[in-house]
Amino acid sequence: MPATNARPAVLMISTKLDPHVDAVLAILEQRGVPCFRLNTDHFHEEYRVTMSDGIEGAIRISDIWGRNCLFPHGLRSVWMRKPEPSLPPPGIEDEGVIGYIKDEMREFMGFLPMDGRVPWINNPDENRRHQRKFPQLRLAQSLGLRVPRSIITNDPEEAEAFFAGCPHGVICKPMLMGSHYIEGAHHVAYTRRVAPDEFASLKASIALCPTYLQEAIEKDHELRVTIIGDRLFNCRIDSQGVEGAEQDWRAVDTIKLPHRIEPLEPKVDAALRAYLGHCGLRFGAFDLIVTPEGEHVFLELNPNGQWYWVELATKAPMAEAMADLLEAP
Amino acid sequence: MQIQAHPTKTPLPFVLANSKPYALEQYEDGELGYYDSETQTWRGTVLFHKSSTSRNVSSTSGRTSDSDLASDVLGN
Repeated sequence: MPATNARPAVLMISTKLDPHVDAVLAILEQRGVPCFRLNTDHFHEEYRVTMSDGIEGAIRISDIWGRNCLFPHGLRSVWMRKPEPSLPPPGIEDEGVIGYIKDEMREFMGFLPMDGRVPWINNPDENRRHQRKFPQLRLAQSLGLRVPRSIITNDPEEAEAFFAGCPHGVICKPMLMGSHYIEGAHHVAYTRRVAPDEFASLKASIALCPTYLQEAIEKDHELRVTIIGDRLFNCRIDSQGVEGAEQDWRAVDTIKLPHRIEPLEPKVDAALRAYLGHCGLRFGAFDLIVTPEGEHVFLELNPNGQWYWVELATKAPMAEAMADLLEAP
Repeated sequence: MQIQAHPTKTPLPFVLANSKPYALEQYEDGELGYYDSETQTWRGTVLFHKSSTSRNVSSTSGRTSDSDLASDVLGN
């Protein structure tokens, strides 16, 4: 099967507004590594794809500017950064037709990660498996990391008993999506501390949905630990001195929070690397709390987390690390 | 402590009870910069997918970046 480029390319799947891709692509181009950027938000207007039958299972992708790539044979790696559903093709306005096109597009895109002949950073099917919060806590615990006591329940009485057993308080957070629509308006649910009177007044609503509650952990500061290939970037985020960021640093303009790269305790470093190894992932962004006593508490893994804001805030060479990984996965 | 009741008639699950509206910033096409097809990179303001809810953006095509294919808050 002939490749479209003399040198194998990196396929980057994301959107036009993604500074992660901008930064990494610029580095790779400078090194002479060909890159093909597939912006799924503008898929119908700017790309053509053809998947042939037969054992090769190749997919030709071209853009309107004359670039081509051949999946998977012409590729050295695929970076599944942050794809989005496409805008509808020009002239299509019927919601039903738009829905059909969106579903077919999603199905087509779903074929790609099933092909293991090219390294994925990360394979989105694997990301989906490993983004589940409760299994994350089990795995972290098995690797020796402390995790917060947690419960998921739609039983108000069980929730109340859990609440009573957490003398330092309880936080609640969504299991999956932070953002949602309420009566047509876009809202976000951050992690929040639940005061006893709030719990009492809302207790009955636990029955509406499985609800994720955790014991509140006192924080000295927080860590965002990003592992890119073999390189680990431990970024300390001093969230406790910034109003509104105490429970969830995403609630404020994150880039304005104090960020600092610092060494990570070797035991925790080893545990997080082992965690990713266990999942078979080459990239991951972990959130941890460091207590006033210096204990590290695992909160979660974001298998496709953002990280470029950490580079902008700290000058850590993360885009370079990602370029290294994509060039020689 | 004063409980801030959610201003909605819809009964809400516990976690959503105090969720906050997005302060979505809207931009006109081209206002943030442009996509340079030569370099395959964005030229203009550095914007994260959703940098935070206080600096949230819609795409230059006027569509929000809400998606079930993508995590949607900085950090995720």
